[in-house]
Amino acid sequence: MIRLARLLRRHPLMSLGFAAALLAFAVSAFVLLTQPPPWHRDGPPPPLAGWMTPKFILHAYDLPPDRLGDALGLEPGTRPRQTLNQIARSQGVPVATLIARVAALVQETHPPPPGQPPAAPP
Amino acid sequence: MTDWILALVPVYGAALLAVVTFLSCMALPVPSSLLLLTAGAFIATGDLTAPAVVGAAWGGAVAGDQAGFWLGRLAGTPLRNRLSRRAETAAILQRAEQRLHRSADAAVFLSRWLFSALGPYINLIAGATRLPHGRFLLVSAIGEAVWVAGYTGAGYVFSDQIEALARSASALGGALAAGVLVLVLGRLLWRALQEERDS
Repeated sequence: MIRLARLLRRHPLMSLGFAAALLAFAVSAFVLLTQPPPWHRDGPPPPLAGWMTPKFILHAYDLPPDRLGDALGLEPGTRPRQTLNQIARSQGVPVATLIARVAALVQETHPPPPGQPPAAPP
Repeated sequence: MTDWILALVPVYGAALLAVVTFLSCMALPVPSSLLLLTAGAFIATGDLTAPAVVGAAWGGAVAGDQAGFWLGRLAGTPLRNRLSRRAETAAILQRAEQRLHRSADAAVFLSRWLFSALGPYINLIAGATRLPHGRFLLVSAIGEAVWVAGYTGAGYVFSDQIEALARSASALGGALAAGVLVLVLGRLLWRALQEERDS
């Protein structure tokens, strides 16, 4: 114990670094154990959000492309790589409006099995 | 909270990835892993193209490593010159550098992708201790290729799960980097303790 105290006094920086590293290890290990990575590729898609592009939504939610284009008010052949945020801005509507329209299309295309409440809106 | 960061990826694409990987190799706190995963997802959807994104991210990372290396070399030179002036300290310096250089390839390679939180500091140390430049460039370029390919690949495959994956990846990266530090510092402290006992 005395030797340990002397070590702490002789090498304060190294001891502090060791303690900090041990703490960081414990915290990240805890996060990892309580929120394990999703090792399945067919989990539920992420909630609809403004950063998504139409192609991302098609990919994640498996929707008919022409119906999604209608819901978002996109002309066929519109500039690709636009996010919902950008589309909303160019149309002068709140992004929440577009998200609500896509959510309605998702409900219609993939209705929840009977007896289950409909998914909460994002 | 991360929404606005994710929204930058389809808009700025490869250029954004190059800047972000460069900055992350200079130890700046940018969410490079999350953005690489997101870029992988947008490759899967067809919004971005793989060669441009992977090439830009890799180029940015290799350039960031080079910047760190030369910064370390520049900053380390005055100290090195002072230590080299006396024969006694010059010998110690030379021995220390030789020992570091022996395990340098593994340290550089693994700190690109497995213990990536340590990467920026390894760059500075490599430069300051005069690791041969060609050797550093080659090993860091291979390591960064593993990092970029690994993360964009994971984003491509698990494109619906990028946010959860990014959380786990940063926790895993943090745990690994902290684990390595615990081992290295623990060993040094243990040795110091042994010397204390012997004296």
